[in-house]
Amino acid sequence: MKRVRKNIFILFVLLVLCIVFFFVSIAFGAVDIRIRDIFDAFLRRENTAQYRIIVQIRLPRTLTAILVGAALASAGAILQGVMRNPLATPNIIGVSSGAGLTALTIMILFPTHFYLVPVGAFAGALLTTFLIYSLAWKRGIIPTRLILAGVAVNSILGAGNNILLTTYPQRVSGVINFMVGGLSGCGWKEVRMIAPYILISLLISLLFTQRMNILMLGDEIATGLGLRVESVRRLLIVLSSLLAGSAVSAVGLLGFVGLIVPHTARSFVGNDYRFLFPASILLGSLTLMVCDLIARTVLAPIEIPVGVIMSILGGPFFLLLLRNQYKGS
Amino acid sequence: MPVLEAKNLTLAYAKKPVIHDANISIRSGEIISIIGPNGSGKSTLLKALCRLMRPVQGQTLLFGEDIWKLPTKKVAQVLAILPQVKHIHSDVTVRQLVGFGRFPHSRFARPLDKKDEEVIEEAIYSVRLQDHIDRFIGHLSGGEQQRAWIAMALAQLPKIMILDEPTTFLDISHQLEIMEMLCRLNRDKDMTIIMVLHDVNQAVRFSDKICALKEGQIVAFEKADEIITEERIRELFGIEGNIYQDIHNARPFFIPHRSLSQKEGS
Repeated sequence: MKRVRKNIFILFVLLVLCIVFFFVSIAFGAVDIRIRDIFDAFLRRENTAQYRIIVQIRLPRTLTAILVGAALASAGAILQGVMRNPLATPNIIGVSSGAGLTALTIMILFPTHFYLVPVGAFAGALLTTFLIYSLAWKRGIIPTRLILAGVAVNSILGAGNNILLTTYPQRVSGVINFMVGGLSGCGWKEVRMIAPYILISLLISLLFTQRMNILMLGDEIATGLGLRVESVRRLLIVLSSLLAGSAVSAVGLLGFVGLIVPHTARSFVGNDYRFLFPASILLGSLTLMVCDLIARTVLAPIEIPVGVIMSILGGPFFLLLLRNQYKGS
Repeated sequence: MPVLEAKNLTLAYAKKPVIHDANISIRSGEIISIIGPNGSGKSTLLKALCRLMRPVQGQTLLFGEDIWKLPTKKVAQVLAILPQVKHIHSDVTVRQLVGFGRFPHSRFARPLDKKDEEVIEEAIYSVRLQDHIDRFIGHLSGGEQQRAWIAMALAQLPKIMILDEPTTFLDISHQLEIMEMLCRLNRDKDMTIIMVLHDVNQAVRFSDKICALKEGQIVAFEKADEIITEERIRELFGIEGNIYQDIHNARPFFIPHRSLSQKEGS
């Protein structure tokens, strides 16, 4: 009972931090804006330069960061649970490269149809998921086989990406931002495109947290408890690829969030998905907002892709976390 | 009417048959043990009895109805399973684990109510873990962990409990504790118990009836004190030994002398 209260407190702190950084993220950038002016902009809606910066640039970009961070972290949390494997994340089992391959194909081979990139990425993620799923299917899904199939598919799709990049070297510079993952140029169009999918998937997943807990006990126990193991697992896999696919379609191949955020959240609230899942969502949003803030400001006016910041800061942090965990056990 | 019944069950892994045409009928309130050498199909038969494995042919009937045609949640309301392979994070508390046992009785995404809490506490009490209710599973001993799993199964309020080698990996006192607990549940709650056991003497001592398997065939399904004879043990396990009478428990027991398979070497 004490732990429940502690976990609720941690979720509350994460929520407060998210709200704080929402405003900080809008306030800082190439032009600094006072927090009071942000409220003014929302309240008065006067068409000043500041209002346009806030409403047309900073706000949609921050919202994209929130949505994408939540989507990637929760997709990772779902997959790690469903597969009972700490390495199962959208970018390791190939869902992200599937999204990447279709997106790159459009960007490099059909640059005039650039507007199709999001839809393509999305379709790529879903197609890859079903491909992996059907490859691993044999009277039911065995998580290990699904991960191994995913790793193999990932490497094939990666080869596809590399063929595109090496045969059209002159067009590579245009897609680099997509390859490393970045939020620059994300506007209301992206928000409107991904928000419905991400929000609906998150809502459905939140209803399934106790089932995720039961799935963690192993297929036999879960069946014994009356859980329809196959259909629940299939639904959760589809949800996670919807989440990952939407994220990739907006910001490109931003992989690391899906691995480190759920693990970090685990070290905060433990393995109970009723807390772990919301904690991953909040921590994912927070992480991406903070990393994007750094990406925009540290070398301003030059912008570093958020994926780079993510890896430079997230990598060592994650290693530190691992070290402390081993010390603890 | 039997509570659980296997009719002409044929079971196979990747088309390799493991159980051929097995028939078994279990009545309410019985304690049944399945024994047999490694690879004889004990666990496979058990899995088919509790819908963990689909038969190639034949049926499993739960209260007269095909177990595969019943909604799995309905099955879980009367039949609880404790398999050998269980996964759990060490930071799950006893209360939380036992709470999972209420899942078959829960409505979609509805939290546990007062009645659930009562059932959970009673289940924990009946396996005598009330002093550990908020402790982590990872901090319990092997015997206590097994009792916590049994409490989870009890929280399902089942009429039948199916266990695969519930005493493996436990020392002798914890083995005894688990077996006595199962007998008490059987007596007090009239619960039908079906389990796979490795130890023949344990099976004889605690069961009403024993099902003996060899190479995928049921070779005997008889009352526990009649089933073991010197010939049958030789036939089943390939060992020679003698049967003695345990006066205290009024059951026969078996002491092995030598393995017949090593005869040529010595």
